[in-house]
Amino acid sequence: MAGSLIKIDEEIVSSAVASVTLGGTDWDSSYDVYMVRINNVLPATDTVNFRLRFTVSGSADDSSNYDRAFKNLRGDTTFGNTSSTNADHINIGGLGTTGQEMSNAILYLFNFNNASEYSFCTLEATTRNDQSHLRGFQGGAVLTVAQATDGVNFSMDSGNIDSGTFVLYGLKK
Amino acid sequence: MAGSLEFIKSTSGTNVASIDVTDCFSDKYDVYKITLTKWHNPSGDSNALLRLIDSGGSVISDNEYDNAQLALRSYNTYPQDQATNTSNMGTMAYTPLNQTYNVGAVIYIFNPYDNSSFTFLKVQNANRHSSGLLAFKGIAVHKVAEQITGFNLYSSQSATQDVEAKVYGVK
Repeated sequence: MAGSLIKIDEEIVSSAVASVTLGGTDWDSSYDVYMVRINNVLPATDTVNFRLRFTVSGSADDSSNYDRAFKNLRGDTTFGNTSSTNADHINIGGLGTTGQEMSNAILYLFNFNNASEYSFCTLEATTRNDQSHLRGFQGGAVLTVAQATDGVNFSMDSGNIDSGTFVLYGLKK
Repeated sequence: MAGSLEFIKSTSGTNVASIDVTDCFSDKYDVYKITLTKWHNPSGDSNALLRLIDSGGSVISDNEYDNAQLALRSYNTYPQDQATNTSNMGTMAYTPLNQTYNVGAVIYIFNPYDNSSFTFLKVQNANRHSSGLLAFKGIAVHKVAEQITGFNLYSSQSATQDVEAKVYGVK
């Protein structure tokens, strides 16, 4: 029997790149819900923030219309609440270059093909930050523009993505 | 079209002190999804704790893990728990005293077979407690870069359990 988690796009970074886009020209609009998995994502520059944007016609939307709210699970200290409104990206955690300070996460994308709705995502991450502490954002984000979106774009706020695997799936209707 | 969530193996046990799920991680996948649907304990309330199994088949019980968990309770506040340099990856499921309620847990494990990478985990579960619903959201890391080939589930109360789990690869 055919499965229902269908791979749409995959990017494996083995030499540094400024950003990774899943979808865009590879986007398949025949799904209502999408899943993204990322693993082993490391930055090229120490002490940076890993960030996410949605794409419109294949380009990252950098308008100041992203809201996010996360519970930040922490292995070494009290958990935090992390939120922002009207940002030009979604900060999904701090990373570094020493001590396996990497990101791994599962995201779900909603309403991306609906031009009259906002695009939402949920995110559950398990990472090590730039101080080698266990961290994990758990929550959601939204791009508060009623428009169709066609992918996601990952980058660091400084420097390149050094390595990592990024995969986009559709959940079959 | 073939799907990208591929069944690897199922395991179950009755009245077992712990259960080893061996040889379920390989170079075929980077990320694994595990469902845990049964965690019965006839002798006391019990958390299902998880440890990894190394390429030699040994359960890793050294203090090589960090974990963090938020408990969500229908009947009370949401306590948090975190640990560094501890001996397990946290609570994967829970069952109350003398009950045979089923549980629901979804666990993701990242990079286990890559011997140059730490192994990361995230878990979300929902369980019955004697006072209501008890759910956990958790994360963990095994802080040694080594090849991991399986995992072990055991009771926080050193009790015997009935267990049912399934492992999938996310291609």
